[in-house]
Amino acid sequence: MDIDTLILGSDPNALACAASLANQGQKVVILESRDHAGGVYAREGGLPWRTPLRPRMRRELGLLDEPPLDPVAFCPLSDKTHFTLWQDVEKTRQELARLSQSDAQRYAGFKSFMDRMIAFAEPLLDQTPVGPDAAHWASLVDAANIGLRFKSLSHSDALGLMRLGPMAVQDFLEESFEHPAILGAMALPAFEGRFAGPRSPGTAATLLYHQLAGPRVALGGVVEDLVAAGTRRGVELRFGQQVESILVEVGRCTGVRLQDGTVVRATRVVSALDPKRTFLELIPPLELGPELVRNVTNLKMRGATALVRLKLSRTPRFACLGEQDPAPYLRGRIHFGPDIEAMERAYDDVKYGKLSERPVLEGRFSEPTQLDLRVKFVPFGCSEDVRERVLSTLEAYLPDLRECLQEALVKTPSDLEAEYGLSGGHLHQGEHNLHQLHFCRPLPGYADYSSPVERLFLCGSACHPGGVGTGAAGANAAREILSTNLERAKSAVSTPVGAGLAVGTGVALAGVGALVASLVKKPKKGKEAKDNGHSKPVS
Amino acid sequence: MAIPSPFHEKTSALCTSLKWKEWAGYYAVERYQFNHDQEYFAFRESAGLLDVSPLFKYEIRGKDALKLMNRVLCRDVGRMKDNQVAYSCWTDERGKVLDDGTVARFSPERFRLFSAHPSYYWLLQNAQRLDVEVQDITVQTGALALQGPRSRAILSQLADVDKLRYFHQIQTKVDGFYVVISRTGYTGDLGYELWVEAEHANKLYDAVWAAGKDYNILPAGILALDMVRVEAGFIMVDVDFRSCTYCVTDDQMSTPYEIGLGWTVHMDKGPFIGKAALEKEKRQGSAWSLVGLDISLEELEKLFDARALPLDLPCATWRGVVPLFDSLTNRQVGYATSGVWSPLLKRYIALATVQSRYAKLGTVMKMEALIDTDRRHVSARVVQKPFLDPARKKSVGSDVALVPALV
Repeated sequence: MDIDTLILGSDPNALACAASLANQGQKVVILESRDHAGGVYAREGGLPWRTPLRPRMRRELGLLDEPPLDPVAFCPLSDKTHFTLWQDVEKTRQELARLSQSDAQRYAGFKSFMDRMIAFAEPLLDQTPVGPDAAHWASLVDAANIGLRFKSLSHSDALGLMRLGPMAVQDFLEESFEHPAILGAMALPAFEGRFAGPRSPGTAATLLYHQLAGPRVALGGVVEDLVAAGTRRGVELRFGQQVESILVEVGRCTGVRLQDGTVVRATRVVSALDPKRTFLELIPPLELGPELVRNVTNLKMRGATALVRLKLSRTPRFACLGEQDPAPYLRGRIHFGPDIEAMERAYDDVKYGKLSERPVLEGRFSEPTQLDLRVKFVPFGCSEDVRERVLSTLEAYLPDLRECLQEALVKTPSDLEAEYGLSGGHLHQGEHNLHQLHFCRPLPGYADYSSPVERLFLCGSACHPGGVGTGAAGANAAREILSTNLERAKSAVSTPVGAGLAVGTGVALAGVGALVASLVKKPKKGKEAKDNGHSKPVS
Repeated sequence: MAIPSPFHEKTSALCTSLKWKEWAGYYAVERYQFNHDQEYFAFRESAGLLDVSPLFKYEIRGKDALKLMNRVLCRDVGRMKDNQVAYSCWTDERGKVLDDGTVARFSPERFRLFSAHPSYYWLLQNAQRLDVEVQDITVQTGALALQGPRSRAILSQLADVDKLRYFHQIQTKVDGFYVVISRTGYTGDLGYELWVEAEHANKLYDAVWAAGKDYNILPAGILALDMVRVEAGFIMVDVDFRSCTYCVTDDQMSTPYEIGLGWTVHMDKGPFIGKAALEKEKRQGSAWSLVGLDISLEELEKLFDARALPLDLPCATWRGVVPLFDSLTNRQVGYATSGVWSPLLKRYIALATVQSRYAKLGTVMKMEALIDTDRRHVSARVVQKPFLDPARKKSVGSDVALVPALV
């Protein structure tokens, strides 16, 4: 059977895209270079957590809901105290009160504001972005719908949302909180996929952005679930397939050539690899215009996060917990400091190409004897000893760490690039900078998952909405690949603005119809009268 | 602040008029003498020697040099033989002209590109992922144009140019240093351009000057060049068309077809920048065309007569925008961009951009003419370009009649 869609890579976006397309009856083949699926999202990848799959996809593929990590963040402090951010607001308030009464009192208000912002912005994740270059009328309806929803925000929320965008996360949080450790714990998500510190502009937007997909969940078996969902629908996975180049004939993609010389042809190719790999390595250089090449080259993909997996003989002792049972605290994320001031300094180091003197460590016990850590900031090409820096930082919190340490696996950005083909070692295939989000993701003009090469599409987290394993980009890409004008029209009409337009047009047409009918009727009357005049003798 | 060219020591000694202008950041002589007439006639009747060092010069070397040239230029350089030179333009992805110039092929792995505007970044941008090195050799290379019926006789004393064919080059030695001599130029006449390392520039100038002494060689400036290039029907960037890099609106940009360079576009050579857009234009036709105009002297004379003035003709090329009108409706249909009285042809000629339906040979339009203080209209007829095309331009050997052959 001929292949309809060939997908390069097998991360959750690739798998989501494959399953969605197969659901529509497409013959889908996934080419993966390794001997198992998932890329960095596979269990051995070392990611401590991820964002949950989109609910829409879980429904479509019949997957179970994923419980959020709780605590949101367990924060041991260097003075042997600790506090915890829980999913529960009241519980969190009590925790914060031990550090700052004022922060505790403001927490509920802050959380509620963020929740309203999330409610407003979350639907954007499942939509193909509408930018100034949108040409299709249905996109304009989408834009109008966003406008309509924005209009429904309260005056202060609308203002709050607009101010938030360009703000530095520290400035934003300091409007509500004062304690440096609380500020640090709250600010942390703002740096996921960013080469930025708390005082960098635009980080408040990333903070919101990272909460849109919902609270973090355990890495779990997302890859296995998606593979199973795909294979049930007929998706074929081929492992150990090293793609050498994407074949382009007269501006149109026709398949790929593997390193062993095999040519695999397909109606279309969807790349879940990042744009630099796709455009600058796999597509022959003469097939792309200089403008595009420049834009791709200019994409910011500076990986600054290392993944460290510590294999332990037992759960280490937490200095801040004393004899207390650590188990309830270890179910979620653990934030090993530092406060917001030290975070900025950690960023200062990487800004000048050095490993942070005091790195920002967040992690999770995937198992009682396995601590998976995300380490910030580690520059690409780092030659310093990341392992030692991590261990010596952790020792302040886990005094017996070295005693129970069996093995430390370190993946610096350079390792991530070499091992998983992530350009720049960037886990998200592109920084979550304001100018690389929404209609500018992955590149201006190509936010609809298309590419300058006909029948070549992108579906990785390089595309809107980026993220860590939501699968949204893959699902959105699948929708765009298959959507016809009729479907677009249907979905546009199902929105408030679209429905309004449809009703309006209907009423207008009915009005015109009535008018035309009355005009047509009139001369008929006249004719009848004339006929009557002829048939009836004039008296 | 302009800088001197590698020939400055020589040209400044000869430039008795002290008439200098700035050309691409260099001092360039406008005219050497009190009047540029003699320099014009040198180009057409003996030999004019012009310093063209301000041209931008790039050397492209590497395994993918041919690929890069074919990607950037509209012309197929794959068809060229080694030591052949070709004229081409290059466009952006919208098919809008960036610049025009000549490309010299030394081998499939070595080219030189000469342009009016800086093109280094464009070449570099397109060289990504290609095994090629682009070097800007503008400053380290001096360039001389020796143009005119006697140029072959002069140069043959220095090098074996008798068999050098039109748009070909030889690599040779003059007084022991390396010189590239190409049978190219901007005069539409028999002529050569000499490319030399800057350190030997003055020695080359002396050698050419000494060889030309018995042939009435004259140093010539930009004013004379501007006259002969209009006679030859050669367009000039920033005058007859604009590089799209410097345009503010789409209307200001041109495609190769619109400026008469469609013949340099080789559609059958595989992908090049702007191909898709140009294919579309080729199918649909171009909105604008570049034409040669012959302006009615009789009408012009009458208009001057009516103001009791003697006929005033442009003895140096004017550059600007002069509107052209439909002769019946008086609606503007184009504009002339450079014009001159040709002393050899005894005609007032101009280059113009017109709506394509007015581009047919013989079409008569009205051109605006300033008669003292009044704006009036005179007839301008579309005629064949080049206005002047002497047989010696392409001739080989030394036996060709040197008398200017008028068209």
